[in-house]
Amino acid sequence: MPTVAPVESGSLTCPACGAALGPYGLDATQEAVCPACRVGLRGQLFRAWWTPPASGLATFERAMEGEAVCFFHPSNRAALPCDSCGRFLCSVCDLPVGSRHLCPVCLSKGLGKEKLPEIISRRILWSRTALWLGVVPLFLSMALWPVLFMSGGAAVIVALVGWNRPGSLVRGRQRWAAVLGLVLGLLQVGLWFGVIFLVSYANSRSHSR
Amino acid sequence: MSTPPLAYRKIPGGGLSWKGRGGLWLGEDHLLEVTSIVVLEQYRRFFFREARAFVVQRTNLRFLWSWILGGVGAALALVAGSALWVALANEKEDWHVAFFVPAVLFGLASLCFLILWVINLSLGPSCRCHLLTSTGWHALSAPTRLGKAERAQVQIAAVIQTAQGPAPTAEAATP
Repeated sequence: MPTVAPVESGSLTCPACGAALGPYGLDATQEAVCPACRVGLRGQLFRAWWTPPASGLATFERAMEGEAVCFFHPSNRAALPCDSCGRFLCSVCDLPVGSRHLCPVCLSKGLGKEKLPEIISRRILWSRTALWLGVVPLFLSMALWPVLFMSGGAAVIVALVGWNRPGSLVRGRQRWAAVLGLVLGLLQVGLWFGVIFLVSYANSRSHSR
Repeated sequence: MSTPPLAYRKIPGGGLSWKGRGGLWLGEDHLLEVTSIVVLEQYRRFFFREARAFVVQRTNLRFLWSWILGGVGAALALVAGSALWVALANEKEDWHVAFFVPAVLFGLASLCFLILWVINLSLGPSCRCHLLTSTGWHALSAPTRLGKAERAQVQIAAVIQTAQGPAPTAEAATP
């Protein structure tokens, strides 16, 4: 079977300086040098370099008599159902999120409450916050003992409030961190009460003499 | 709305920069870059079907850090040695004991820098990884050492080629 030479779709540029490398200027096994900035580069090109995926421009077709229609555009032919609510969607309303297809309503619901892990760009890790609030003040307890009550209380509150909050996308909720933060927070509060008790006890002893 | 759990697989190698601690994870259809700063995690997704090239660029950060860590460590060791020398040379004086304290403190600090210097050298040459998509080059926060980056490149290339199919090669063009 005759093979076809790959078609170049532009010139590959150096990621460091932007100079042109050429589509075959990369090798996965051997280091090449950028002709402009002399930096060592190793890598490889993938099929999408020669044949980029089709642009996501939506094309829709008018529905014929008796055909399923889009929930949002009754004149358009339905292409597929929403993976969340099951409404029929045309290709205009189909919003691919990761491997799923959602309608605009479900997507906006997911955006509002951070329910869609596929589109989350940042997350605060409550369990790790509780752990930090539990650990750091303890290390600095000699200097920070007057605020141990507050930092310990904050660690307990954060651990409890964040117990059911979504955790890291890759590491999960890490409840062990929340539990440790809770325990260390209680320890801080206990230490604070202990110091106050000892100071007041010493004062009462000195006054009684 | 039901949300299926996402399964990610860690790619070897991390990175540390002013942006935070970085790491790469392989998802079902995308590469996830995670940058964490203490309690905040930030995510960037690169879909396999859109990746055009993956490049590992050699950098001289290891060289720079070895000079910084080694220089500071050597300077601290010099101060510690000087303080020790003053203390030992004036053994008959009462104040000589006071020089042992800075000798020990600066010596410990020097030891810390020495350990970091050895770790930096043992991790191997430094690098930066880049991924090319339709929107241009994206510098990745990890891996930042060449050995780990080469292993990451193999894993990432394998999943991208599975998603896209094999890339045409120059050899394939010859009949």
